[in-house]
Amino acid sequence: MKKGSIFSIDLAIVIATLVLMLVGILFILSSNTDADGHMRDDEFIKQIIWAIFGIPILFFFAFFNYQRLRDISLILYIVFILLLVITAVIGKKVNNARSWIGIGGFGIQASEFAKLSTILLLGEYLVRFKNRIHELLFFIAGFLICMLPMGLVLTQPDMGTALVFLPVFFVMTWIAGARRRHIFFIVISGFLMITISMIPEFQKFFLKTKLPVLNILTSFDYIFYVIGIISLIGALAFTGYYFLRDRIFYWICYASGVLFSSFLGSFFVRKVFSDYSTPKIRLIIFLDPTIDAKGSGWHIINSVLAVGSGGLFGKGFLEGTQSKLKYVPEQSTDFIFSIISEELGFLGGIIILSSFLVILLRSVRILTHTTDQYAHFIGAGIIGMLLYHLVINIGMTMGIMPITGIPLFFVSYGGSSLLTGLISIGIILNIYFRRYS
Amino acid sequence: MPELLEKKRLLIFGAFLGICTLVLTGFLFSLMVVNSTGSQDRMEDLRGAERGPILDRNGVELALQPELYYLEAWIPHVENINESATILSNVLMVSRESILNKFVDRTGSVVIAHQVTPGDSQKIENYKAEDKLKGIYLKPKMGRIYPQQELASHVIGYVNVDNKGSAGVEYTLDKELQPSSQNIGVLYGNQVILTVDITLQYKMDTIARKAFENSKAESVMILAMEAKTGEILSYSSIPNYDPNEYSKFSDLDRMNRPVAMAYEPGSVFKIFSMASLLELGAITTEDHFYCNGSFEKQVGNELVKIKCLDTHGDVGLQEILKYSCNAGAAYASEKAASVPFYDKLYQFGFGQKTGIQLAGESYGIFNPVEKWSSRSKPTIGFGQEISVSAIQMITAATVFANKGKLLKPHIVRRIVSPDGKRIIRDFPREEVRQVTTASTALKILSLMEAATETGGTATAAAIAGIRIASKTGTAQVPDLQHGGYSAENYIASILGLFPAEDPQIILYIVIQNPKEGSIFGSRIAAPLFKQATEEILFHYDIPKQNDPSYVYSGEIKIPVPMPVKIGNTMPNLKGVPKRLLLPLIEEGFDIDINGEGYVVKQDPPPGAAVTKGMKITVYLK
Repeated sequence: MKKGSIFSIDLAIVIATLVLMLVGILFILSSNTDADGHMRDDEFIKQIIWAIFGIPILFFFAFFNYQRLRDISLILYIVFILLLVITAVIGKKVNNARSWIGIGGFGIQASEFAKLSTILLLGEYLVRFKNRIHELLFFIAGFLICMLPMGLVLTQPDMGTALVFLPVFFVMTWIAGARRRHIFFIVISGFLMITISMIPEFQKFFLKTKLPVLNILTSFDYIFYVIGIISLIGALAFTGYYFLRDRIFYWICYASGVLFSSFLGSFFVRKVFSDYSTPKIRLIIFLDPTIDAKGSGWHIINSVLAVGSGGLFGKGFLEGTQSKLKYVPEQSTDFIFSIISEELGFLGGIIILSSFLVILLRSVRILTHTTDQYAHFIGAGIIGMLLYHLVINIGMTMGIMPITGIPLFFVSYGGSSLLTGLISIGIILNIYFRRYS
Repeated sequence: MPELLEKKRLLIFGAFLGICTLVLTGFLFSLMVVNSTGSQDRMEDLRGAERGPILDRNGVELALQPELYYLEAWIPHVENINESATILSNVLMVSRESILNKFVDRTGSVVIAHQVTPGDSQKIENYKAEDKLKGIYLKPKMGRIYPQQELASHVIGYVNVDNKGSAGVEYTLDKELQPSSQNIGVLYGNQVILTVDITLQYKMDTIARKAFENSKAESVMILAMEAKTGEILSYSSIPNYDPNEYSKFSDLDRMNRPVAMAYEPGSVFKIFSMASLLELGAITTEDHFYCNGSFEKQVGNELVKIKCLDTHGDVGLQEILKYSCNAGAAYASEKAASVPFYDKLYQFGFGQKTGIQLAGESYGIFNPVEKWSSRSKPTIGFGQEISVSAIQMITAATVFANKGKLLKPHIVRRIVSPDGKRIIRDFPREEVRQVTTASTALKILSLMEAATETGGTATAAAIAGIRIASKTGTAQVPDLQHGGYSAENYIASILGLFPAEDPQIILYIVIQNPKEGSIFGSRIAAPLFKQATEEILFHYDIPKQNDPSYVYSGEIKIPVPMPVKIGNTMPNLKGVPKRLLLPLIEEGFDIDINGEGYVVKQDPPPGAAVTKGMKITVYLK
């Protein structure tokens, strides 16, 4: 194939993307319709405008040399960090999160684009320090690049979007050669941190009693003792390792490090999210939605019902009762997969999933066929981001993932999310286009 | 080599995301295809969903869901405001201006009428069929009608604006009555059949209401229970309220006193304390005590003295009950050890909930022995220092009618499926425990009979030709502000079982704080008992004595669904199958049957007067 030819773009990815966008527009239309067949909103028209506006952008990025993006990655990063800061100060509040900045009637979610700019900068960082990324210090420095936007998004607060930065970071550094134990350190600490900080809620909703022994982990009275003991064990193990060089001491040290950071982190989490605050309650109702069936569990219960009621071929376009009677909330955005499943059935689910599978697998194939390292890193980051959104969003509509309001790329209503998705696809296509250069 | 590592990791990553997608597909498959049968039609048009009715033991409707609509306009779709307003003002019989005003300065949706009758909604649907009234919609209205108004209101309860049960059986059986709860694919809630006989309830309410007004009491309760099953036949508690307009009544009117009010029962309690003492062997029917006008006991340096109402002299068990001698009851109680005495009374159900299916049941106050003073045991012996609920009292009396066995009280007879074909839950006779021997129970019954005979406190309750076992009481009411007992508040009560030789009915009457006339149970509660008993005997056709052939089965049958009969008023035809409607045509009714299956809508609505030559329209589904 000749370089520069229009035929050298990966058609499968483009078609899959278009299918997803088309299904998205159809079901945004469906969600705008009420039980009597009347249009109650015009979101689908806005989405069509976004799509018309977005497709040229996709092709622009497909042919615009991504290496230029690499050159300005630091500037882009700084610009979007600033936009996030501005959002935090003067942003519009939607659903209790200050995540929008508006220009006239249009608003953008800086957090969506910040994901991309972070991927671009982290890619650049990894290319420069690739040979040293297995060292702890360089690993941590890379982590800080992600932590900055992640922290800013957390303050909005938009838990779901903030968490995207983690899998993106893991995938990119791992591809670049980071050590598994470093990655697992963060993963295990994160899980432990969440678990420990959830103890008050667990006691209330599941144990229905207070176990005094758990106070050691939750009460501020014991915090110094626990930290002291963990540090002591860590220090002893470190000395042991220093003199004896036995691996066992290394792992004890590792384990105390995990405990130390998750324990301290849990107090931080509980400071930021008060007991029974939304993110924590969402985790609880994920474990058992019937705890608050008419309140916070409502989303899960009705979404699962909608998906489950679809059957093999669904109830038919515009015929979904769960969605038309507005039992499923946020139908056009976060829960769009519920109404697709309800109205098109398992078949509809397969259309969405297989389209994504085509995009993801073709992208990986593109990456393995290129030799450019920068392409490897940002490509992996983009794929990681798409995969995370897919798994979390669809998993949440089926009740197997906690509710974190993140959209389904290309399908959900929303310009920022659609544009971010299309730019991502553009970059992937661009990597394909320039694979021999 | 680093490129190689990258490639390898990229491939692993590719495999990982493939697996992720496959796992998601697997979950989706299991949720949508394997397990989908359940949720398939579950939410199928919830608009037709209907809360189940509450019926009395003979099938009379006490609570039902009407077929009512409200009228809503979605302004952006209203094409011709003037024409719509003209049509609607004609149909709804309101001024055109008032409808036009609703459209002014509004966007989105506006409620035009909060309630539209079935006839009017049919007219509106006809207009809509002609493509008029664009943008105007009939929406089903959640609501509940209680045709018997305040009758048995404390049992039935009411639903709040969200159609959720908030009191009575509407609350305790909300899950059964709600259509959507767990019953997949069911659009109708289950039917709840109460043990209450609404005809008897009406008669008892009338008696209670009259007594309430005459005595200026704070409340009057009359409870009637089927002695052999524990089923409550009538549950009067005045003041009561109209559940159709529950918000217009005060909390005191809505208070469900028979279960929620705890009070000191007074002398009626002696039947339980004396039964316990007999059962424990602490006393026998032969024992005698001396009442010199008070009970006296030396405890260390302190002389415990409790005044009796009279100087009864030498009293045995029979006299204690017949003349209601407090000192005698106190002396008798002293014969038993505290712990077994407490345990036996606890076995009668005091200090515990009876488990009746009504919310807000009180435990009463029955302190454990550790908290007793030297006065406690003798005072409990005649019904003070213990608080009970009326439902505890009448339930405890089942012991005397069932050979010493305590029964569980029932207010709900059974729960049946919406079509009436399947029994979802049944509440048969339930024995809780053996409290006394059969002989002790019999002894107490015969002693209570003596109280109704000449010279006893309950003489006013006697009816010629029927043996009645009863006990009256006049309890003082603790004065919460000043301590001690109030000088003007008393609780007059009477509990009785009849016919005494084989009790079928337990009747318990409580008059709280009567202000006019007598305060004594023997004077005001006993005559009420007589009135109520006569009504019950008449209602259930229980023959009086000297009529050896009577057999009273104790079971009152519920008729099976029968062909529809139209009398003076329209019955509720909802759910009636087509085949049962056909005989109506033969009977000469002008009936217009639309559709197949079961009736979902009717005009005229249930309860409307039937006039000659009236056209009846029913819609089936």
